[in-house]
Amino acid sequence: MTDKHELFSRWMEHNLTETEQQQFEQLIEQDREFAQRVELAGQLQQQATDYHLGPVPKWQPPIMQRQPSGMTRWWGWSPLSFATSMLAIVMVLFQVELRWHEQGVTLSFAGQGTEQEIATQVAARLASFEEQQQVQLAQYRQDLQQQQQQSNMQLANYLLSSSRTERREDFAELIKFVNEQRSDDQLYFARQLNEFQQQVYENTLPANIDPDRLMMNQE
Amino acid sequence: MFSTTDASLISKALDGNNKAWLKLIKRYEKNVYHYGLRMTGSADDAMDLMQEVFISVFRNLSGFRGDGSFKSWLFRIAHFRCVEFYRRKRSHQSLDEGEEIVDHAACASQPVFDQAQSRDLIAAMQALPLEQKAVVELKFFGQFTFEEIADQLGVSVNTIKSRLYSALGKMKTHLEDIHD
Repeated sequence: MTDKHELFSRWMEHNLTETEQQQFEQLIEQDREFAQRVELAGQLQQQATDYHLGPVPKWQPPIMQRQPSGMTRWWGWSPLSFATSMLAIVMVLFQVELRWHEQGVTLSFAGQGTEQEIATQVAARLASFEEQQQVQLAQYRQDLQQQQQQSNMQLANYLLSSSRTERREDFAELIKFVNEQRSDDQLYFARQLNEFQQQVYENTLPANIDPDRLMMNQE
Repeated sequence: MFSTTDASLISKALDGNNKAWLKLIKRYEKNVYHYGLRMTGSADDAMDLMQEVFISVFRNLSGFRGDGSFKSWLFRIAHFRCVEFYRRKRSHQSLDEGEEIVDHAACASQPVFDQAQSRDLIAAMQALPLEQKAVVELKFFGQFTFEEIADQLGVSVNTIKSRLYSALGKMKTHLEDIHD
């Protein structure tokens, strides 16, 4: 901060002493730039003095209501708000729960109500699950039994029918064998008879008769 | 005398007396509006600024301790709101450096700037950076002392004096350009 600035500032505040006033006037004569600043400051001061504060356009200022003082003490609070605040704090700290049922209202602390409700619900679900399982098991057993019976029946029928067929085939085979045997026996016996017949003719005919020719004549 | 009355009005307003509050507003609304008019150069912006200032006062009135004058406290709020206004308007431009964009047409359109000399001075003022413009405004139109301005703007007294001296130099150059 130069003396020039300080002088100018003191002049602005109307605080110049006589000596400073002389220095100030001397500076105005010597320093053109300083003089111009002083002149401009004078114009601005005059302008500010003559400045006409015109009317302010219409506007809606905010409506003032009672504002709480920054020095308000905690015991100056409304008793009702204090009581409700304390109640809210207690309810949060002790986990108070209020439940409305068809039978009435349940008040529980520290989440006990929730645990009881969970236990009840789990027990109900388990009972329902057990009952459902028993019904399904009984039905499954019945189905299995029926299926077993059907299988046994089918197996018996199959065995009976297959044994009959086998026996029929065996008998047919036996009869066929017997018939073949008889046919062979008949052939055998026919041949034996022919041989006997041949021998008988040979033994009974005279010696000059040829048996083969006789046979051919007979035929 | 005024400060006592202001204090009384503030006390009543804080007790919910809307009449006292409106009286307080009425007392200072012209000063704040014309402060905005000279700082922004636009009637619409000045109106917006004034409303923002009084809303801030409304919200923070309970925090007014009465250490200084209410007027000084009010214009400190006005300055903060004005700085925010310029930040919103020209966020890319530095507040301390760089020339403000002047709406000469807006300045000239105001009925309060009807005289040519007045118009030129206001236009030259608009060309100043915000911090220098604020010092010129508070010193000449607000009639505050350097100490009060320093307290309002939160800087030293010497800084305020330097800003004023520099501002007058810039305004002089600007006025010479206009007249040339």
